[in-house]
Amino acid sequence: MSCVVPLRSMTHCMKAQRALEEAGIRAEIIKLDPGATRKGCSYGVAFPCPYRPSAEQVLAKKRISYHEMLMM
Amino acid sequence: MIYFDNAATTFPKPPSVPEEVLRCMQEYGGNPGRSGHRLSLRAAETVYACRAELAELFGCPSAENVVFTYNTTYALNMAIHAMVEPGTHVLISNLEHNSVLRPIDALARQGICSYSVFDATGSAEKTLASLERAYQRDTTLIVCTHVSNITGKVLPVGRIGAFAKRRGIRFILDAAQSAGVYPIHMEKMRVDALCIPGHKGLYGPQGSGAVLFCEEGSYREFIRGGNGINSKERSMPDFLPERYEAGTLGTPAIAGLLAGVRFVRERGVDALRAHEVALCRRMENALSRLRTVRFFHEKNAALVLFSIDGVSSEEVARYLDGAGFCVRGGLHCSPLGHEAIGTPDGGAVRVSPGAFNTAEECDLFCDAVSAMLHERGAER
Repeated sequence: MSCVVPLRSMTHCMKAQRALEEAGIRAEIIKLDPGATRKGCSYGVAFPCPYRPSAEQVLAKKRISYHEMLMM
Repeated sequence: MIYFDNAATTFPKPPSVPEEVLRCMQEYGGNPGRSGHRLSLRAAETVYACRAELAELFGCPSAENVVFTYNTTYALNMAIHAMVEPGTHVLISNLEHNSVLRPIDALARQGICSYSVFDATGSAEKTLASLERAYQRDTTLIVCTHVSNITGKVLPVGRIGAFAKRRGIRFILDAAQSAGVYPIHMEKMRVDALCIPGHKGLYGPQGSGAVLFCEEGSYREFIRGGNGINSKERSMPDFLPERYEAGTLGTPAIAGLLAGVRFVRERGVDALRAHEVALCRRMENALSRLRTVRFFHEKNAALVLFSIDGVSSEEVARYLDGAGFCVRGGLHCSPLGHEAIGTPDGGAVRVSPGAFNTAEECDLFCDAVSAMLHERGAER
């Protein structure tokens, strides 16, 4: 089970992935189903759920905003 | 051929640049930000890496604020269109390239804005004084070059940025001749949009360039189309960089640009400039011994601009081409500048060395100019 954070764009996913990897959290960019967000095609960053608290801190520190966290 | 036209585009490139272009096209050339497969993601990594390097090099707050274009002209058109406020006044300098003059003049002819031209040919104090005189209460935008492409003059852009900031005016900087050659820090210089070519001082391929925005503002859209996200939405995203990137990016060119930026950062901007300036002074010293040569460039410029009495600049450039040297004659797409500095009607010859030119090549060049004049009986 992975936690997935849908983000604004591929560019923002790259930023998040770099930040998470620098913090020692393995992160992967995935393309989400168009139905995952109401806006259509999107990308998200997936990471192991046990790292959720740390990941949330990292993303907050980098001011990477997101609306929800999905479980996949 | 000995190439002295680096102000037009740098040549040759560091070997890493064509290597990375080829690697992209042969190993991972997917479409970045469109699909979810590994080749698309690999391409996206290269694109992001280039954004990050550019943001660091130019003191841009974040990599997401880097929008890729195809050259400085596209970048300037984008930034101007995004930032101009209808019904207001714009300031440009009298050293501007057509990539600034033409879009601003077109907007004025369409009645969208008015504009005035300030004199940037004098000292920093005189330039600021001219800017102050040209300022109007409805001025909302300043667009100017950092370094003139014909005189090599460096405008006091830090002070211009401060002037703009105090009055709540946006500031677009044309860094076509300074990116990779002079230090630029957007935040310190209070630049709202920095327009750069990838293919000049950053040694990237033609077809690369960028606008770097200092802030993510609510700027006007410039291009509309698909960008791989929010596909159900009819309008472009309201965030950078995707607001201004529609259609497929020039990923191989961006891969090459990344290699070029790394070359520049490794060599050092100051060291690269010092090399070019030294070569220019060497040529200037040699050419100054010829009676019929007139100079028009700034002291300590990273280029040489000269004319020869009685010989058109294009004729000089043609002769030199035949002798194995690449230079550019004419008006260099800067009619305002040539008028301001008083070059002959046909313009002048611009010699612009780059990282790979040598002192020996400069000496050969000057010998060729001298030979031309002796053949014509102009020098005895």
